[in-house]
Amino acid sequence: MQVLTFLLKRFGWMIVTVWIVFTVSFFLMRQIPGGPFNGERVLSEAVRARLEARYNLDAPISEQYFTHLWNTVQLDFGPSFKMQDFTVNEVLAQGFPVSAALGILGMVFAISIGMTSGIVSAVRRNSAYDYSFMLLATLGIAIPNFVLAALLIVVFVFNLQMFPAAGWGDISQIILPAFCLGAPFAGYIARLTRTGMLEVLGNDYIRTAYAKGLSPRTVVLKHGLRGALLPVVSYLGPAIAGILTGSLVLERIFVIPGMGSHFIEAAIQRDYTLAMGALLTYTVLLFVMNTLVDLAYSIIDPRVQLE
Amino acid sequence: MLSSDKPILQVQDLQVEFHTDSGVVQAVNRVSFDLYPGETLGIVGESGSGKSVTNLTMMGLTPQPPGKVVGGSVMYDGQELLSLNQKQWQQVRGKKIAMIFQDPMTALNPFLTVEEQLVEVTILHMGLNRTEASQHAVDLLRRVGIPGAEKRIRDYPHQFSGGMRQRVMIAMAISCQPDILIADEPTTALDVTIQAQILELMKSMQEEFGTAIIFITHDLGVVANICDRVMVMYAGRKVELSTTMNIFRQPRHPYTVGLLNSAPRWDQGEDDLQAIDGQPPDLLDLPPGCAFHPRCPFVEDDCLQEIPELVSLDREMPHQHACLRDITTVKEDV
Amino acid sequence: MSISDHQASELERLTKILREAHDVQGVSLWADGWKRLKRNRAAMTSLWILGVIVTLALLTPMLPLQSPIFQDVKNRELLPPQWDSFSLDIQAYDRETTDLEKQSSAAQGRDKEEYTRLVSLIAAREQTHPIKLYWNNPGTLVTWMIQLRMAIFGDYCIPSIFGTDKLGRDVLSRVFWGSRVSLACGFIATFVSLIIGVSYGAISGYLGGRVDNIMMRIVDVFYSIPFIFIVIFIMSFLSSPGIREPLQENGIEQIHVFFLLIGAIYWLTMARVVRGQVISLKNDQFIEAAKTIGATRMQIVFRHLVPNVMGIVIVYLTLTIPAVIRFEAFLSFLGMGVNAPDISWGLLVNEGVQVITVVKSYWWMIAFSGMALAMTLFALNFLGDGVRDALDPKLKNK
Repeated sequence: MQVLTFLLKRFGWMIVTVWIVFTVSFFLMRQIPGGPFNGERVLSEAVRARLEARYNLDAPISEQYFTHLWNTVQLDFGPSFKMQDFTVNEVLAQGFPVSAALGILGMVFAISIGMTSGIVSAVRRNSAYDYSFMLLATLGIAIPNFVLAALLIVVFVFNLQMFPAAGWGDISQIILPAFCLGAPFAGYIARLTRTGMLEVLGNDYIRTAYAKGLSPRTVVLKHGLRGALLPVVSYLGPAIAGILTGSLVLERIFVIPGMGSHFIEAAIQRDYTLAMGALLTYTVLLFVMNTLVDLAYSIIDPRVQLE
Repeated sequence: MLSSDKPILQVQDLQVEFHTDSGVVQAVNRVSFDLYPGETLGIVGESGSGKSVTNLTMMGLTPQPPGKVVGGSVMYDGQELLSLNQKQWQQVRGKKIAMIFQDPMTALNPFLTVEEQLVEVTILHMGLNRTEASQHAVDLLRRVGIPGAEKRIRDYPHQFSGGMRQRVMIAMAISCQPDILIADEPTTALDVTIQAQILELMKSMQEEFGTAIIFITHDLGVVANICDRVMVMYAGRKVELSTTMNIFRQPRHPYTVGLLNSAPRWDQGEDDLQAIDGQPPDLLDLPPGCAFHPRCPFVEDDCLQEIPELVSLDREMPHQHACLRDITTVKEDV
Repeated sequence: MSISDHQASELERLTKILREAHDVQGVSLWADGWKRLKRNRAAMTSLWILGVIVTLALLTPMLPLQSPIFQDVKNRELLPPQWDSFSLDIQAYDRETTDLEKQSSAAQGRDKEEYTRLVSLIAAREQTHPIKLYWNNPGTLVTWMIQLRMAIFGDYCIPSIFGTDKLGRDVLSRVFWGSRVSLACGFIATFVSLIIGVSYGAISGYLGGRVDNIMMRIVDVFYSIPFIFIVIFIMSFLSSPGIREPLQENGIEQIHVFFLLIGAIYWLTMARVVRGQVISLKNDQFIEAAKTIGATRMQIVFRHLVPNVMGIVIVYLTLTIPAVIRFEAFLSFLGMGVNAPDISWGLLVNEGVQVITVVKSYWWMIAFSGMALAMTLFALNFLGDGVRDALDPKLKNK
């Protein structure tokens, strides 16, 4: 029941947020003098009129706004401005699974590597493991993923020839981009887990657990990990946003036909319907993910009330 | 109630040091005592007197580093505890010796249900399966007086009140019927009315299971209520050990006298309350001779020279104290 | 004691409380923090490294570097790092100008036609002076610094030890000039976020009640908007000729808007943190004292509350600066940020990635700019950790 109210409330806020994003981007789009077709080629008046009619650009702005809004509510983002044969929905439907696969793999990688090294660092505090993991973590955080990607391409693709340079479809093609995508987040998660774990391990209830005769392993993994997870879970919200952004760059470097590539391409080409469709999709995605993170938080910490 | 059996726990010359940045602290200094089956031994002292460290050492839980057991022995049931390895310790903790901590708010894991925290002990030490352990846990909760135990067991610690949480801690501690229960100020964090209930509960549990209890406290009222014998500690040393009756009737160490005078008693007016003069000792820089001498009203020159040995006065009624003065005579003059 | 005496002494007492509150906060927080920071070796090393990087960035026009934008595709395309010497031809150009000036002063009075021709030629030469050509019409200060450099080093240039790029430009020089934009972005954008975040958070926290509620709801909504995408969206608008040109006519460069935009999206966390601090501070004695003395709301917020939250603000600044620098690099890398002829590290890495081919990797195009970026961020991170440990209010006894 509580969960249901929470979800309903969140849904309400999501609608508000999406509407704001929609409105702002709609009016930004319409601010462009001369319309969106002042591109490379000079269009004849007739062609321009046809295009404008097709995209409903000759109607008054309020009518355009509501038509567009209504279409968007029905999840119809309209035709792409620049890719003449595709609708925005088609382009997004093509790109989304690709980006999702990349993002999920990057996230799984970040969480597994990050948490393991964080736990080891906390339990073996001030050991060589601790120092080297934390140095690596700071490196991972400091090096922007596109720099890392570029360096890894030079080393692994060209010098060692272990991976193909670019493209999509093969397992070997996803490893490098997923690694680069996850690396900074693995670093953050490792550090958060370490600090969280150290804090938790100083708690009284950890002493209680030892006093029960539990093995150090059980104490750390069963009694310690939950508390140490909390900072990591609250970081997951920003991390997901970061993964979305990160994938923009990595999809471009590795020539992966995901949503990020399409979005950047649309932004460069000023393909406004496509850019707006992608923007709204990202907004919803971020909102859903953040809601899931909050749910997860309340499951892990029974003291937290959803609101 | 004092049993004449063999002691179940013998602590001999226990010495624990803490290595801090500013120097080495003798947290526990040559402390010896016996614990007999079924008795309750109170350990009294200010914070920093070494009472908690002594007991953590008996559980092998002294934080290492900075703590380090440098000498002595702790014999439990013919077994030297101080030479146990990690695995062997796990067989003792919770099963043979259990512990209740001061603050029930923080001593229970907030992320796990009470059930989970109760059953993991019995599954581990008694080899029960999950259903048996659950049933056992419900029984225990009922025994420690938690109403609606079948339902409450699925709750999280934050859903219990302070007193109820301490009851859960007790249930957890006695779940494997340990021989020894160490209670580290279990009532300090509770309301006075709840305190009495918890003490009653501990007494009845002791009668039922015959557990020996080590009760750490600075509250002499609680000592009078529950303890058979009392050990007084000061600056890491045992300064007096006797039956509760003796300690209250005829304390022989000035520090004990001070403690008694500073505790409110029903037969005294408020005006008779006296605090002990001076500050608790700086463990990094102990005074020469008897560590208590700067605060002692009976101090004489030799107190600054030698550290007083423990003397046993009465063979019939064992009473040890470490003081150069015989204050029983002095006290009558006052 | 009369009533007015009493009031005067009361006023004095309150003023004293206020002053003490400021002194205690000011002295102990910063002095303690600095003491703790000095003991942290990683943080101090980072501070030194950053000091060097910032100094070099500031002094870049005075260093004997090659032109960051001069192209020579035919002779110098994608040269690997090398020690072959390279020099400018500015002194020769200046000598020619001087010759012309001599000729013109000789012609003055004698040959009027020749004189006017020479004067206009000299003026034209001023306009097309290599400094303007090589350094993209630098401002007054930069021009002056370059002239100083010419006076000290002459035509000498450090060889292309970082190699050259696809258009034959010197990578070393580009990395140095890029540092100026990247660092400037880091500081300006962070400053913008600081101003917005601190004011917003302090006002919201101090006013409390419904206003606070609404202001924080707005922040919540903003949090769930993927701003990075919106910035890209906006940048793509700004780069369209119909928008860019009118802005430029008004003296607004795309890069300035860009700095502001980045700053404007990084204020959310700062606002939240400051609000929390202000709420916990606003019932303190010294605020009561300030109220009694008759300070206005705005005075209380900005003169009494804000200085007291500076500790935590600094901690968050150390997190924001690297985040902003990274973000700038990221957008420039995508071609959505700094545009040619401006240079930033992100842009340089992008140029490096562009020329990676199966045949040859041209590693120097990525390695040096990438390393400069990574080193700066690495040092900023370590310094940030150190500052956090040093100023963390949790560690302080107060």
